[in-house]
Amino acid sequence: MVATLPRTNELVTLAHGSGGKATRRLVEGLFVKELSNPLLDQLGDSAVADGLAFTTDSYVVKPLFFPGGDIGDLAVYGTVNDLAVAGAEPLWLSAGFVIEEGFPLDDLRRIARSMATAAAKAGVAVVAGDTKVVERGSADGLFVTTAGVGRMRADFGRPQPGDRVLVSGTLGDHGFAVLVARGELKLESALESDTAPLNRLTESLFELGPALRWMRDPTRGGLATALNELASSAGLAVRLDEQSIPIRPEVAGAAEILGIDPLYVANEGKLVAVVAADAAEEARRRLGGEAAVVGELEPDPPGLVLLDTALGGSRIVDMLVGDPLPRIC
Amino acid sequence: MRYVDEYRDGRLARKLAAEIAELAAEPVRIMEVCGGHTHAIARHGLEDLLPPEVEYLHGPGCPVCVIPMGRVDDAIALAAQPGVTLATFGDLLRVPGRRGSLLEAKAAGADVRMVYSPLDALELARLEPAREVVFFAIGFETTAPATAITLLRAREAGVRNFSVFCNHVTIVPPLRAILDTPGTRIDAFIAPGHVSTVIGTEPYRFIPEQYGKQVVVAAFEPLDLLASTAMILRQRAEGRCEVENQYTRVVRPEGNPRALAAIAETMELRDTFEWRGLGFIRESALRLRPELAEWDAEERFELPGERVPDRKACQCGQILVGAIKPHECKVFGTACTPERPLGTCMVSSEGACAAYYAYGRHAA
Amino acid sequence: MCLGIPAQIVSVQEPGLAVAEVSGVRREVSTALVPEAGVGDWVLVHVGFALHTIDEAEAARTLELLEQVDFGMGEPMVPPWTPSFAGSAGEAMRGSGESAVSPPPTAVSRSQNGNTKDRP
Repeated sequence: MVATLPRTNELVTLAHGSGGKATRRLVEGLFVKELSNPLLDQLGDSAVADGLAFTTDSYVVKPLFFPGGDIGDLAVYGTVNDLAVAGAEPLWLSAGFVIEEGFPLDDLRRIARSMATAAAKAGVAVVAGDTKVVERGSADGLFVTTAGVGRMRADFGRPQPGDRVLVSGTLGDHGFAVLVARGELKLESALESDTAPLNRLTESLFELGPALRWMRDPTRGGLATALNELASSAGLAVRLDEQSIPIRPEVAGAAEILGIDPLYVANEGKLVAVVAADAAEEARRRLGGEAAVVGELEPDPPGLVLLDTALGGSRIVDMLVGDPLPRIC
Repeated sequence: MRYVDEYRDGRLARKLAAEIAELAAEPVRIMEVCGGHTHAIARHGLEDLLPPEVEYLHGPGCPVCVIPMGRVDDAIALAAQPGVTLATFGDLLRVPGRRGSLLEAKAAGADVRMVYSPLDALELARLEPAREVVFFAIGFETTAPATAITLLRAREAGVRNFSVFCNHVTIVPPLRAILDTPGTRIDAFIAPGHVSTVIGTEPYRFIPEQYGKQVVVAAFEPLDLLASTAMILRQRAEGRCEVENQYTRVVRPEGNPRALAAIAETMELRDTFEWRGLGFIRESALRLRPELAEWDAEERFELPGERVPDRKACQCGQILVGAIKPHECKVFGTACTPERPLGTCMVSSEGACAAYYAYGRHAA
Repeated sequence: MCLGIPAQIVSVQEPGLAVAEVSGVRREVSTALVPEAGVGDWVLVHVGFALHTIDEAEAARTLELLEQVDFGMGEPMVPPWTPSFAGSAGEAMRGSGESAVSPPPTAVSRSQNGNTKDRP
């Protein structure tokens, strides 16, 4: 007797969680469709109104503890960063915990401490929370959901052809570090997550005034996803220079072995910013470290991200389709 | 020496491009038959460096692309069985069968797990003795030795809850089938580098000797591909027609005898096997030898084994023989996209259509 | 899936099992197909197996051939078409007048490609 499965075109799959096209379809086609309102319909990472920014995020990272961080500081920094790149000064966070029966209290304490340290580093406070416990098997250890409120500070200009694209440092560190830490692919490396608060850096960029056009923290889906969103919303093209993009050798090595492009891999302590051409050098200086100018906006073809390869050819950097790295945020 | 960066040097690329331009006296169509080559050409934008006379065609060298829907359905049927864990390479997760992919089957409750190596699948079987672990084996002669060694380990260690669903295929028969197809307009071949590390360079000699077309075995970095293209053009300019090896740092004329022996010890040729888009080709695929029946998923489990014809709109078959380019397919980018692929050329990251769509849509 | 990556063997666990490394990332690989490979050797890794050793001398020779590209026609050549990339349109070639099958130079010249990646 050959077993059969239920019809599957009406089910959620892992692809829906990857941050790419399937996620967008789910969000726009289902959630936004049902919940529609003027603020939500803008599809920003944060909602901005009345001088405030408001955002929410869920953290399902596996493993919970990884080199360079854990689900706790990831949750705090991730929320702080969403507010920061929206142009806000992050103020208050809430944290909800869904805990699986049998979860060790020591681990929970370690995570809470991690969050406290992270909040202090970022200059924010966790002011509200909630805790639920579910039966063994109903939640993979721990899931954390946050919300964050900030006060709007930035006065963004409009992205225009000629503007430059900058990143604040090396790409792909977090996603690959977590993937290696998960152990399923049996890789070993010294890779560490780059999880860190971005609000000091963003405050520095706010001082550029309208020369600052757009910012994102390229988490799930990586730089490629963030820039595709930019190209789409601005109706412009983004042209990247492959040789300018900073990538650690270990990340390049893991990328080669696994055949995963670092441009699509999550970062948790990096920002991508678009600034007017004449402010690019100043912006780079303010970002410091390994920040680099990696590309430029062009009028055509609108909505596409292009990459000039080291070889001298060019190719498209498309929106992510599949799910190369599940559960890395 | 790292063996990768050196082969991506922009300055050398331009030199090679100039040489190619000088040598290309007339239009020449070069077919590469390896998903890795298709991907490298697209990813580095190599066609931008070529003069208009030189055209790359993309042949059936992507083992994921040539799997017929019926075999995917069989894998899903295996995964759907209670107690079965189907271990598969990541590339196979989104290949559409008749009623969805393995990824969708996983969402519906089938135990489908991604592995990087067949040895990981065997390890799974050892760690979970209550589960029946089936490894969905695909690939050309590059990958068959890995499956072969894994089978030998399984037998040696007496692991009884492990089996292989074998879909390994061989490179020579489809090449011959394409050359024999009337209307084929291919002038030369870039032969697959990694298959050749196993089988060597001798098996390709029938192409220059019987069909009069040049062959160069190429490595995978962009400079290697450009150098191989130049070698083909140089052969043509000098009136030569032979098999040349550009991948000398890894490929030997005799290949890897140990790998070939492992395949011979565990597998044998099937009489016939269906290739998506190419139909049934004789002696083009492998199955487990009878003495390994215990580890053969097709012997241990009952499979639907149905032949599922390709969707009418799907033109994968014509892409795979180089008759049309991806952007010439009527449903490319419209009814067939990476999110909703009609055929496997669009699903696999090494498929010609996926590469064109992801990397080169704007140039089409 | 065709992924065959050059990696260097950094340790041997037991006969047939080694650890290979690419840019600081390590993985266990089976050396059943290349039992002669040892620590320090470079191998091609595919789905967890070392498929073949990489011949360093051949690799160097391949690079030299790439560096040496010329037309055997003895004159600098300008591409007859305009490349689509910036910066090198009309760049003259360094044709040396030697035949295409001249022996490689004794010193291997390493190209400067401005790549910021580290090399071991």
